Amino acid sequence: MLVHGSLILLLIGSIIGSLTRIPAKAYGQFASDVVAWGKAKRLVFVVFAGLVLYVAIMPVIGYTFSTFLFLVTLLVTLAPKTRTAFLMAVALALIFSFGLNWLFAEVFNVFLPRGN
Amino acid sequence: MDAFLLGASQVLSLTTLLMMLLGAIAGIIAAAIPGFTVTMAIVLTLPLTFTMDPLQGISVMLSVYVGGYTGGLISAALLGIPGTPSSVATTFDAFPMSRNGEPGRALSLGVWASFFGTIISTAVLIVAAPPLAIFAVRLGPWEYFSLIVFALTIVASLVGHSLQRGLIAALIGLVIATIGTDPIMGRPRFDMGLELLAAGLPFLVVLIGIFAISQLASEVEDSGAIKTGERLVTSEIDFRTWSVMREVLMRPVNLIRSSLIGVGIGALPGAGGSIANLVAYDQARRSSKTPEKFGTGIADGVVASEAGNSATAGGGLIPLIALGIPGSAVDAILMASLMVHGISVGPRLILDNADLVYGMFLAMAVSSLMMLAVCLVSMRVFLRVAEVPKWAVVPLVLVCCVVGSFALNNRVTDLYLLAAVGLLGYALKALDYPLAPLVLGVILGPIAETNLRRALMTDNDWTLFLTRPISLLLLVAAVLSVGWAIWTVIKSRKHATNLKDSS
Repeated sequence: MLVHGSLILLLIGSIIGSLTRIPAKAYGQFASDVVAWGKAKRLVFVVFAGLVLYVAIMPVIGYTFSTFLFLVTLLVTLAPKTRTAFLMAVALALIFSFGLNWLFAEVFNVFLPRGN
Repeated sequence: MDAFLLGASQVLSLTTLLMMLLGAIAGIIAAAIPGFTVTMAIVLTLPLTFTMDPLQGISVMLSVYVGGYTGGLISAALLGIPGTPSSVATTFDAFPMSRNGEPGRALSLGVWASFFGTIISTAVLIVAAPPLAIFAVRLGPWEYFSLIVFALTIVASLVGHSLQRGLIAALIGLVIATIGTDPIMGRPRFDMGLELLAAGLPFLVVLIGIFAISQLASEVEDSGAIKTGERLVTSEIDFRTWSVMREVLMRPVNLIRSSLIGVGIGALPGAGGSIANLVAYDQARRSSKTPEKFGTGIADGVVASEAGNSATAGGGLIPLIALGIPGSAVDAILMASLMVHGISVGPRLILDNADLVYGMFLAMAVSSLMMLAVCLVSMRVFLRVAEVPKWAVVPLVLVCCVVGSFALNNRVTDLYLLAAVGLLGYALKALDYPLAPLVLGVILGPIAETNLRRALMTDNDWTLFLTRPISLLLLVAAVLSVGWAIWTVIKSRKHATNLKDSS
């Protein structure tokens, strides 16, 4: 109770503090600022969207395929658009999906999700 | 003397040394990958030791242990992600140091500091094991609670420039720790009716989510740089081994104090490397003449944190050898390894199996030398990691984090929690909230609550926290620590207004 209570108090205090400090014209610019921020940080959204999809799909199609899809999509999105980069991306995706699965199953006896 | 020679002959045989070398390498690599921890590495080594002689098996596990405490600094320095929970404080100064163009120096400082930390803790182990163990066991839940209160005041030095945000982060951490089952009664709480949260948020998932995922996500913020193949560290990589060693040795007070803190905390059953590195870092900051430089890439910070966490290896062995009580999860597994071979672990261990105990001391010393040799030789290989472009590193490390989180409890729901905590961590980071207090809250919250309740269940007398001498000492230290923090803030504000007045 102590912990939750003090957290709530601090949060309310900080909200009130920041509200009083925002200059008036900033409210008007809020929408365009958000859009600009979103555009600048779009790769972060891509990464998180990829992560959420990856984690959601894994129990369905299993570790190997979901990791392969995740890595291929993300690596190709982030990489420079050259042929060598693309080939390396596919190779890395293969190694880290099938390869890691094999490593963990055979060497460590740790079984990654298999999907249904 | 015969026992020592017998133990030495077993440890120093060629097969044992070879396997210890492999163990050290495995420990370093396991700790360097975020998501894989020392504990997991030791758990995986345990079955492999069943076929070995007891001392051989223990020596291999000790070398994985020692290597593991050092390996965490590699990803801490190069990726900004603590590879193991005991490298959290190393990230604070090693990562800025690498980004400032000195990744080799950061790595070398950490390795040398770890080496000296382990050696000092082994020396303390050999000399002072029985009295320290008897002292450690006499501590009750009151002392543990006061220790945690003292550790929580470290938050004050981790908040950076905004005390309010630091406190909010710490409280969020404590709140996260309350989700799940009650540590004493096992009743579910704050799980919102979701089965997902019923078991609580595992500490490792929170650590990886908060530090690793947020760090990786912030690496991709600059989309232009990523698409042109930017590397992790864009500068010359050069490390000067011997000059760094002299640098570490030129800070003897810091080194010895951090190592002793590590030994002390390691010796307390239940507290371990994850707390020791933060306390050592904090103490180094308070005793330094330039506390404001901590967090910007100062050598003292790296030395303190790494010496502290490596010294917990020796410290954890103290209660194990003297009393048969494991100092941490890893020591419990070491105990299991001994018990599998039919050796009963208890206060009589050093009397009945003197060769084993002397062998363990020797194995610790040899492991630290091996760790040093392996790290120095393969430093160039590790630094190659810094040359991998960011577009490859981020997705691959994300996969490693996911695998590590899954492998911990074999639960897919942990992965959902990982994604959610990662999102929260990135949001907090983007809003300029310090993440370290949050992790501190998650680590210390359960221990504090368990001990507070245990203390009150044993004796419903609140004054015991103040009348028991050690508990009183720790609480006074906590008050002094908060007072020091407030005083520094006032001093810096006065300094700022003085500057404004004079300009």
